[in-house]
Amino acid sequence: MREVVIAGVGIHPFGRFPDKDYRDLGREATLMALKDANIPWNDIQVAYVGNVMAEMTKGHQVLQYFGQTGIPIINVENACTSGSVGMWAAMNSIQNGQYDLALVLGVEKAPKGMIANCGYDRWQMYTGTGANPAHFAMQTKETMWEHGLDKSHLAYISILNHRNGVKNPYAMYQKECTAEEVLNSPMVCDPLTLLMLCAPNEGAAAAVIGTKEAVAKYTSKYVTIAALAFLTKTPADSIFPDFSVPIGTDLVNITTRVSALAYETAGIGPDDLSLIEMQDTDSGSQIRDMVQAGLIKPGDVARALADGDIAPTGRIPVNVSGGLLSKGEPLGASSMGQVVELTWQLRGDAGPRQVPGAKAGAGHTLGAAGNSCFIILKN
Amino acid sequence: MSNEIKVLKEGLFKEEDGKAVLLLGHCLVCGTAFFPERPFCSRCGSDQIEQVSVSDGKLYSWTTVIHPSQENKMALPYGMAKVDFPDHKIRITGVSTETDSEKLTRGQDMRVVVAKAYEDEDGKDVVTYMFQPVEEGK
Ligand SMILES: [Zn+2]
Repeated sequence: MREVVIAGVGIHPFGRFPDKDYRDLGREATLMALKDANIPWNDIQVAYVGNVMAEMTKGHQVLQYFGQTGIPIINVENACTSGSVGMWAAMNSIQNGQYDLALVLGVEKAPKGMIANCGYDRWQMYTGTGANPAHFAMQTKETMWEHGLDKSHLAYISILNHRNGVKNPYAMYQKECTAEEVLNSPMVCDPLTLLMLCAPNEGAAAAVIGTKEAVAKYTSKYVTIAALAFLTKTPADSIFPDFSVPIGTDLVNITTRVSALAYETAGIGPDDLSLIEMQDTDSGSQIRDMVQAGLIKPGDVARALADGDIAPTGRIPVNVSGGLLSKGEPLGASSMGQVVELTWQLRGDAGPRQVPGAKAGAGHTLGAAGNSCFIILKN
Repeated sequence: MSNEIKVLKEGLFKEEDGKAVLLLGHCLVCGTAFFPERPFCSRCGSDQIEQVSVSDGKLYSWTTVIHPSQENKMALPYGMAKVDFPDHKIRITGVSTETDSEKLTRGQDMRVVVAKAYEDEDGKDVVTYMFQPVEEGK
């Protein structure tokens, strides 16, 4: 299999931009990625565009603006993993020898409030059981019981990610918050308060990827995709819109499965990572996923949080970009946002957020109906 | 005069000997149970499915929803819960009749009831399954 590298990345800030169309967001991120890679649009051979909510042929609408070069443009919708699934498909087509250079874009313009059309049946929606935060809230309670945690631990994740976001000019909330502010912000679904949940918003992020040989003709500052695993759920994963899960099954949860596959492919384990970007849809999800991805041992969560293991200077910095809690979540773009951050970190281009000497970084995404991706980059 | 009754969705639940039960699928090949029932096993894909039912379980987790969501017709706030039914090794999500989270305890006895969820546009009471705490001595 051919080695695939990231030649360049681009991003449009995550936030709310009432005067901009999704096309504007996508084009800005794409142009920045092409420029960063020093690769002209005319040399791109295939493009994958992750998006959840925009119209028919959204990728075409964004990209044909740069020139109708006749290449395949594939629109990808896999909930919050749309961008990384596009990346996975693009990587496969390069590994398999079909193409040498590809563009991957994630773009979204999501409205405020709870996300609609997540795959629930009408009976679930009519009875209010299609409210995603309620499912996150119950999962969070389960995580707290499992690891002996209280509300202060949930608040800590929000505080840490918001503090990290202060240093990220592409984040929506570049403002610190205190434990009091987190715990006293409006209750959404107990135990989750408003500041413990990420906000759906707008943004775009892109990467130009290719074989090392093809990319080396344009730039020398590429980073390598050591692994990108993509899996869907089994009955063991309690992920909406499913309403039942078998108890006491021998099936393994999706984050453990997808991260193990990536670790094995990359030959890089959780202890070798310099940093990781995780899908902090809510504070509880980040805690659960850190354990399931092997970053913190099950009995060690409270100690790890208290000792700053996941802080930027800790053993395994998590969400140094600010995560979705500070950046907001533009569904189709959020996973490509992780790729942009990881690429900058591994190139030493992350400015005030730089993790010194970062050598390997990972990104984890988890979406509705049980989609999960785990990417590992190395320099 | 009470309104005409309409069932939220056929096949989710029924009344059996005056008792409300949820209708599950149970795979005769691998033993996995799933709700709602469907023609293929969620784990192994077999079509050897029998219908089984559950009514008494233990509370696993819960929350209270106080904000509106798209298409919701329930009055706010309303409870949601996951209840374990050990007989068929299954955990099921649904509406809870208890809207005060503080009143609930992990592992407490819960039973399935059929109750009004909301009044439809045509004035009918739409009923669905809900989880209700079992009061002591009842
Ligand atoms: Zn089966």
